[in-house]
Amino acid sequence: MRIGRLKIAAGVMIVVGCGALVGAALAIASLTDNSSSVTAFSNGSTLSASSTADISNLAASVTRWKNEDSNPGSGTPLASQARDLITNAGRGNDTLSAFPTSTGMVCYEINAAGTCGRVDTSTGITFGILGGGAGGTRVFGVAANKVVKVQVQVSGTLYDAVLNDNGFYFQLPAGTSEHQLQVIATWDDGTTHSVPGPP
Amino acid sequence: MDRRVLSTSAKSRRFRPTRRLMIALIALSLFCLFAGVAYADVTHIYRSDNWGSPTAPGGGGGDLTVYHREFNDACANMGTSGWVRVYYTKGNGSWQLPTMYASTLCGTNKAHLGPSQNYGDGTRAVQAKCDNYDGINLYLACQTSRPS
Repeated sequence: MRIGRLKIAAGVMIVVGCGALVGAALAIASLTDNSSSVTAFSNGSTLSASSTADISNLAASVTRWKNEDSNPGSGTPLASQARDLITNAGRGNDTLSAFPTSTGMVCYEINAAGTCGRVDTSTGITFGILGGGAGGTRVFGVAANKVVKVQVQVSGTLYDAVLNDNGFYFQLPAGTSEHQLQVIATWDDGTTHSVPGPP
Repeated sequence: MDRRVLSTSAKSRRFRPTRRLMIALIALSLFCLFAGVAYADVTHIYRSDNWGSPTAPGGGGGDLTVYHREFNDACANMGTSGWVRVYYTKGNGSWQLPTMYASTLCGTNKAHLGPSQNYGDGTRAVQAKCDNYDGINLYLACQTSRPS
């Protein structure tokens, strides 16, 4: 009788323990899996040969940041998931490529110039600005799946950015400045979310 | 006995060129190794919050040693994000290309430029610079790579 109860208790403990392990695994996976917010990393898009070296350069930097004591947040780059999100964009015929990291960030670059950020935020977008040269000034970044439109407001005028495979890109008109621009994300629920650029 | 001595001596002569070749190959390998180490890029901090003073808007730093670069990174090292920029210039300052702006927070992300030969007019002779592109004072941390 007592042995039977012990068996039941042991069984319950095993079930609870396994459940906790599965729960922890799912929690960790949700932290490191970007597929829920950026499907471009798993939708069969490809990375061109010309982007490979640039992605490697940014990934090496992210690894260096991670190894610096003050930079644990960037995580480990998952460069094997890198994808070209937008190609032949703007006056520079730019290719925007991106990859996720183990901490849920997304890193993105044009010609190996870029940065990392999060899209699981209150705005759903992250972006940087590349200036100078024949390509002019471009705003580029990554948007979460729920973002259906990205616009850039420059000097009071609202422009639509190119949005493709979670990537977005906008070429600033000649003569305009990157100062005081705003990037506005429209979500699939119709709400808009604004992020200011440099002051 | 004599035949054995002669035989050993002949074998020794036969292998001597091979041994010399091996020594030459080892020497060449060591030369390449040391030359590679001497040429390898090293990470160089050219502006750091360790200096203890914040940077006003527009202020920054630069590594003015004119060599090629493999990266140029910068971030705002304070409690909240700050806009920073990194850029390369030619040794004589005649061009300023490209410029990467990003809202950064050391511990999370940095503004990053890739190899200097990706940009500009094809020259690898560049200076690396960074500055505060925000409207408030920022602690800046900036790094680049250059040959040691």
